[in-house]
Amino acid sequence: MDKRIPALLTVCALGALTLTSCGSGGGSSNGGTDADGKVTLKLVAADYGDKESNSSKAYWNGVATAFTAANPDIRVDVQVVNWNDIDQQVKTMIQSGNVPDVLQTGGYADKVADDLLYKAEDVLSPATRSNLIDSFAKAGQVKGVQYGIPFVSSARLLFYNKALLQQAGIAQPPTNWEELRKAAEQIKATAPGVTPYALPLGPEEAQGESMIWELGNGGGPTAEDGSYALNSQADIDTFRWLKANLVDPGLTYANPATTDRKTAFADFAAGKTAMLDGHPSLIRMAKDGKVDYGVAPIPGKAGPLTSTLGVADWMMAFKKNGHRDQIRKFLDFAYAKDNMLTFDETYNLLPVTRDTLTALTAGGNHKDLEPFFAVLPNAVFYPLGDTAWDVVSAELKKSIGSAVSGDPAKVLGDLQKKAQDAVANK
Amino acid sequence: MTPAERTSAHDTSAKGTPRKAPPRKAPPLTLSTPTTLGSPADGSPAPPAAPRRRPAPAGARAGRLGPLPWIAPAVLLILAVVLWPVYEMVRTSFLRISTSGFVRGSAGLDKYRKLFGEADLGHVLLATVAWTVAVVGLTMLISLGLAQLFDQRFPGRRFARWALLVPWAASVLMTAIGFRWMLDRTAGVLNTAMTDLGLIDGPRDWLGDPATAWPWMVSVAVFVSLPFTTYTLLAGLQTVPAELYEAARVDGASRWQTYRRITLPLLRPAFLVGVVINLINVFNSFPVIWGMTRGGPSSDTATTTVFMYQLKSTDIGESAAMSVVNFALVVLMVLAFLKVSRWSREEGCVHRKAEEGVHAEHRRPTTTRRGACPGVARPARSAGQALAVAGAAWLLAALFLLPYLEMAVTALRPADELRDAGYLPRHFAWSAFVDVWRESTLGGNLKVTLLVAGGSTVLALLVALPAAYCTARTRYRGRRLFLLLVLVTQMFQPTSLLVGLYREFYRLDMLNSVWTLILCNAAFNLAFAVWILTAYISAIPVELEEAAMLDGLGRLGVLRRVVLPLAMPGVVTAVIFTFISAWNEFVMGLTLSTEPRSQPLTVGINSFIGNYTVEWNYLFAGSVVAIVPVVVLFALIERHVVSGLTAGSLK
Repeated sequence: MDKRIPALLTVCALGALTLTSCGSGGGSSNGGTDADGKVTLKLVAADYGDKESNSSKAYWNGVATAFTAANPDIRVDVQVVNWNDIDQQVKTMIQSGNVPDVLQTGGYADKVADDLLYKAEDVLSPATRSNLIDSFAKAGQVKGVQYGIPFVSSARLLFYNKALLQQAGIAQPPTNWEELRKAAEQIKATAPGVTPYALPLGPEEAQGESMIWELGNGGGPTAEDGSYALNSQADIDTFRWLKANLVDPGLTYANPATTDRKTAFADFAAGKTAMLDGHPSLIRMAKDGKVDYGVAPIPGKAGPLTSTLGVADWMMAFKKNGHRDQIRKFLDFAYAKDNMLTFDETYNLLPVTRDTLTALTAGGNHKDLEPFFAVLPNAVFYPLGDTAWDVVSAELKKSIGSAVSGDPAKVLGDLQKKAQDAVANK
Repeated sequence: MTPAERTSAHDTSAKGTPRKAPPRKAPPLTLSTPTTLGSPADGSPAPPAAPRRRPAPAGARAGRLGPLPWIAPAVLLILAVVLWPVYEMVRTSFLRISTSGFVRGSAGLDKYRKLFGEADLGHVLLATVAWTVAVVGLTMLISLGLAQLFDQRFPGRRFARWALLVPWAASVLMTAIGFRWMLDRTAGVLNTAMTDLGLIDGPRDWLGDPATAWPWMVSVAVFVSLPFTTYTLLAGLQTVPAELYEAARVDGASRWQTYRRITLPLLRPAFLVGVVINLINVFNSFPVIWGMTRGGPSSDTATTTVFMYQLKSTDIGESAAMSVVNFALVVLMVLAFLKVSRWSREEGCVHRKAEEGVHAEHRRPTTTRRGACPGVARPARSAGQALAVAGAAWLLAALFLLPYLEMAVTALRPADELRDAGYLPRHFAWSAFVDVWRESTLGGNLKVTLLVAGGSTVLALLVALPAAYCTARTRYRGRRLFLLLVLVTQMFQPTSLLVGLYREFYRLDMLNSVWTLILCNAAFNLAFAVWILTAYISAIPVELEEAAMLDGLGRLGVLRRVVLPLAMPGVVTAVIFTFISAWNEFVMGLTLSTEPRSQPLTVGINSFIGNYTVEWNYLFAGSVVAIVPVVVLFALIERHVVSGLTAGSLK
């Protein structure tokens, strides 16, 4: 004990010294260049797996090892973070000056606002760039310049439980809102304990579910000119309809504002929900739960949606450490067909590169995904290129669900105000 | 039972009582600390106490050395791990920071203006007040009853008391998630039970509607606060001299009169400790609400702490401003309470009593105490009454265990039965307990947690012991400042200090290091260790040390050979609380360890809450694995938990 106290004192004193000497910025000043002249790229990526055996860590480690074997002067330090925590972790990293070189996560535009990112053309070879599917590459643009590099995508379709619909005497899945309401009523009557339509407007994915419904009424989060129109008449009417026709009659969850997509998915996979908007991850869950499911275009107010909601996750490269050339080598390597194919197939995600899409479609062994491939080129996206979108999206996640319990016009009006503030501050 | 053990009973029950720490596991306040907030009664002005605490020759030597070597480790630890992040937090509240975390420049007071302009702030503040009053009030009331009940003798008392401790052994976040699971509208066993009992027509979404979510969250917050509070009061009960009850009986006082006139007044010190610690904890409570509703819908079920966390996703600066306001509110609330309860007067008199006790004890170590002689203490009970007591206690014990049994049962459900609402699975599958090791980094996480909990316990004690010794024995300059510093660590919660902590350990290149978590957990648990050890050491007669010094022992020798053995119950208590708190720590582990393998168990388990699914069976299998070691520890030392609090009043 007597020896440890001085040791401890030293530790604490050192800590205090280091603290007082650091002003701001700081961080390891070598910026990832090692003594031997080799560069270590820091990669932070989201974990798409749900357990150790399918963690994205294994995937990225594999890519990193193969890449270093081909490029001995560049090492890649892989850090994979749980989806729940990655936003917070990345914020903390950026705020502390501990910026990764390459980041793979859900959004990119807020980082463009502060000029943190390389342009896509700086870190991708022309070949890799032209291999990106157009609609996605375009969704990666801020004011006409591409910063966000799409990595994987998914699209939404209506999933339905065939047995439950049959039991309710419904031959075809609904194609418009009114049919959906009727189907839900019949299901409610024939299958007690089953949620006819799952409307997850909880904080997990409210911005997605709400946008899908708004699209069905010709609305959406933005107006034609790209400015926010969260309380447009079409959007207010959408929520009035949901409230009056699904929520109040008890055809969906009692409290959509607090129900997360996870719950809806789990219920569907257990046969406790008859219909919901889902993406390809639900396929495996439904199969595991032995639910005989079908997919159909998402019903709009008058008829099925012609362009559904597409979601992409993004890759981006940070300027701070100045590793442009190394990053370019790494990204060209990571975006090679075989790597992308492995990733997409591991997690049942949709591709963002042309050659991978061709390979997946041509193989014929992804029948499940074909309806999704078909809607991919026409998918519409969140206003991802707007640098205030991340704030707006966070506000939507938090509050938009209240629009089906309270007064839609007021809830959406408050959100619109917040969105305008965010735009003013961006 | 040594004299010192006996006497420190007064001290512990009154001062160093541990607690169930919902949001942050750092340990409790003691009666001596509030005096640092400016009351004059720090023991010294209390005439009978002062001479006892006179430094004596030992003090003279310490005086020459100065207090610095003794308290410096504690001060440095607090400065580095608590105060620096606090500085960062305050600074952040004056900054403009983008959602991506990029610092854009100074914001002046803008973030405070924005915060006070939030439409939600008003109802969040109101909810926070109502929440704090409701949870603390109910906790104190129910704990009074529970303490009375568990103080009786009945068959299986040890087991029942152990069951009461289980919610303490589990992490609060896991308990909250467990309740959320039991209240699930599709598969919640509480919904099934209430439906079967005819209380409701069918399953309800309790947590989805603020009107029903609040009562449930209050219940869970009370549930997790009960063990600590009840044990504090139990300890208090056992310091009530048996003679008083006997006298009351002779005077023909009714049970209720006896309780109101004798028990309650004598329970006051323990009661006040319970109130203050619960006030701080409940006000700051994060995991209960976060685990159950995340403050939603919108901010309708948020308290200020949860609101602060919600703001993080839209404006980091505003969130920091909320943290600062939150801290100001805690300080105001605690000060107001201390003033209203006239704590300082109480403290002086408790001190005096404790010290008188010490000395009386040495002369006449035969005072009858209730714990030692229950037959005399209580009026005889009829067989029927005894049965009722045992029945009630057993029922309550079962109630305390049920949530954790349900977790175990869920862990045994095959994956395809997880959305079933029945009480028990149709098939039991042990696979989750096997897979949870194979399919996660749990083995590594367990090792990290063991190292962190063990290491931070050792470190906290090594740092606290010299500081407590010095503080108990000498009145050095800056002593009050030191105690104030310690009190401050109690009022901050790591949740609001995460950015500062991360920045700091990133700069030190100590992310993902076990040492980082050891330092942090030790720092946030230091307050309790310092207080309880100060209390114990103050009660050890200075004469013993003087004698040892005359025999040629140095200061450290005295500390090790004389003080340490006599303060052992306090040390044991400090060990238990630090260990459990570090074992269940979550937010710091989450932020400071980003590598799955270097994360503690609580964080590892949390990763079963995935992007598209929650692997409930794995989640709860992991939780059971995490709870079992602590529960076993408690089973082994249940007696010491009480005796740590009452110092030897149990045999």
